[in-house]
Amino acid sequence: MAEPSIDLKSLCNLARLPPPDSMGEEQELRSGLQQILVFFRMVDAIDTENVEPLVQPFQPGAGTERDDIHVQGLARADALANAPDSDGHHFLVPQVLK
Amino acid sequence: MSPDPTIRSVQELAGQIRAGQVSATETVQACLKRISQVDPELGAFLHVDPQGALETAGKIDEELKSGRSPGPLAGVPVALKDNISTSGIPTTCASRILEGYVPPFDATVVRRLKEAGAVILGKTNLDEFAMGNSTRSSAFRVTKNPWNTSRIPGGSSGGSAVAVSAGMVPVALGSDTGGSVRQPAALCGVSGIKPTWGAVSRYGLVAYSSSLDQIGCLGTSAMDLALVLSVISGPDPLDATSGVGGSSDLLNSLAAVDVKKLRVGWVPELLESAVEPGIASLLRSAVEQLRSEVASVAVSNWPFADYLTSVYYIIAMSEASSNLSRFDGVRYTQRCEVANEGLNGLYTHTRGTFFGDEVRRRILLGTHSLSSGYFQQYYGQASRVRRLVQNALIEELKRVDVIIIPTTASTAEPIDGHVDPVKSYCSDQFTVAANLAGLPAMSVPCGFSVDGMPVGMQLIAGPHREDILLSLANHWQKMTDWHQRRPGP
Repeated sequence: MAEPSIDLKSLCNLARLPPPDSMGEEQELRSGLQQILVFFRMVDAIDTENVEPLVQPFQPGAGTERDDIHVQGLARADALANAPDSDGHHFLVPQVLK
Repeated sequence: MSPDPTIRSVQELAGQIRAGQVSATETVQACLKRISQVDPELGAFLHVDPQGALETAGKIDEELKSGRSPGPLAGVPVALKDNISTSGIPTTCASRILEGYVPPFDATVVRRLKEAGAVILGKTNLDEFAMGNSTRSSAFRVTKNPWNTSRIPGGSSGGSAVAVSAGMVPVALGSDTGGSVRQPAALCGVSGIKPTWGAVSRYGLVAYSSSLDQIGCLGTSAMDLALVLSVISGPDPLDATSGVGGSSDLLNSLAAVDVKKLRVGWVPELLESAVEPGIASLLRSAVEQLRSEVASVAVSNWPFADYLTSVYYIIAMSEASSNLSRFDGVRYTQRCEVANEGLNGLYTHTRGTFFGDEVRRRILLGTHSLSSGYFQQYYGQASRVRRLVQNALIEELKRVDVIIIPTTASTAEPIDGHVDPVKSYCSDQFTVAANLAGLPAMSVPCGFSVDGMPVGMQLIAGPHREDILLSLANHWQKMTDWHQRRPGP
């Protein structure tokens, strides 16, 4: 089995995680991830032709959708209470447009 | 009467509180005392709420004195895994990224426990975001097995298992994505159940892998679990996946199960090489003891045994990479901001700084499995094999009512020492199938290994047949006293 390929820089960017700090760290991370991907690829051995994927164990039946009526959500103050930064009305983040 | 939560069942305790033989306040005080005596060493709790618990207990005592019925769990202290949201009480998922977070709402299971009169005593330790099977990856503290404090308690609901095993609470809630209730229950010598996927609302459970996650409970006996499960289960408008397939009145259907008519399957092949000889011997002995108590014992098929953990980890990590994208440093988490790196820099530095190693590893692997060019090879293929696993298990569970297999291949391992990720993932080999197929499963104590550590026996039934599991487990606990053994002191 060919060694699984990983583009670490692109992967870290997609996952919104910082890339490794050094070549040594990068090598260690890459090798650890590849070992697990080899373990993942054991599933290649199973013939799944014409098998539908199962994305959750059971499908919701009838009656799982509620009526489209207004219900009270979180109060603004409660929603903002845990925010690292807010102005009392909004979540604040670093400036996006400069 | 002096309340002693270390030896009292939930049913017995609730009955004595209702009868006025002990008060809810005395019971909570006894639990708090026990926690103060043993938890500095064992590390089960991340947060204890003595003030809130005593206030609630006081109100329940007043209600009882005035003749009102505060519910079936009146005055019963309960611990909650710290990934279950509690209004006004911190919920950290044992992660630095949620340090200081106090939810503005209760999870549905918490609301139902409170409505039934239960007293929330505190929040228990876990592997960070429930990603692990040892509780080692908690960012905050080490949790030790009360049977031998140099050993792990299992995980990820390790704190809940220890809290029950060491007599700090009579019952606790956990969550089970690939065995996280059953495995620590087995390693700590208590009973634990993972209900059918959808039987219990997950509203307020911090999501790890939504198609696998299920809230479950840990306690001393099967009947205690039945009582608590009957309170927390049922459809919930706030979780569209709850109540899928319907659920009946558990306590009534439990009483209707005739154990003598049950067809039991077991998988001797798994005991030949995959587990420690001591565990294999205890499982064989348990099956022999049950043989004369049930209608039949047959050899069962255990499908795709060599592939279950690979399938499970691809799916769990894929879903985790999506679910954990909400932890971004903006709305309710810690934040790490670096000048001139903008919003993307805020996301990246926050997640890199506050997520632990295992969480970062799983997010990376899940992202890879879902990414363009790899999706079909990993997530797509795993989801198709998952269909085959579910079909085979449900077919087998038409031939037998319950399948018995070990919960774990070995007893609790030492806390210290190198952890190889793949080896650790493979140790979930007996528990992940029930999550992949959405089936109810539980672990009950079935003896001790030669080194004095507890061993668990796993029971698996068809969808929404918790009544069968709990009836057989209850029968087993009438035949044996393994579940009554307690670690000292």
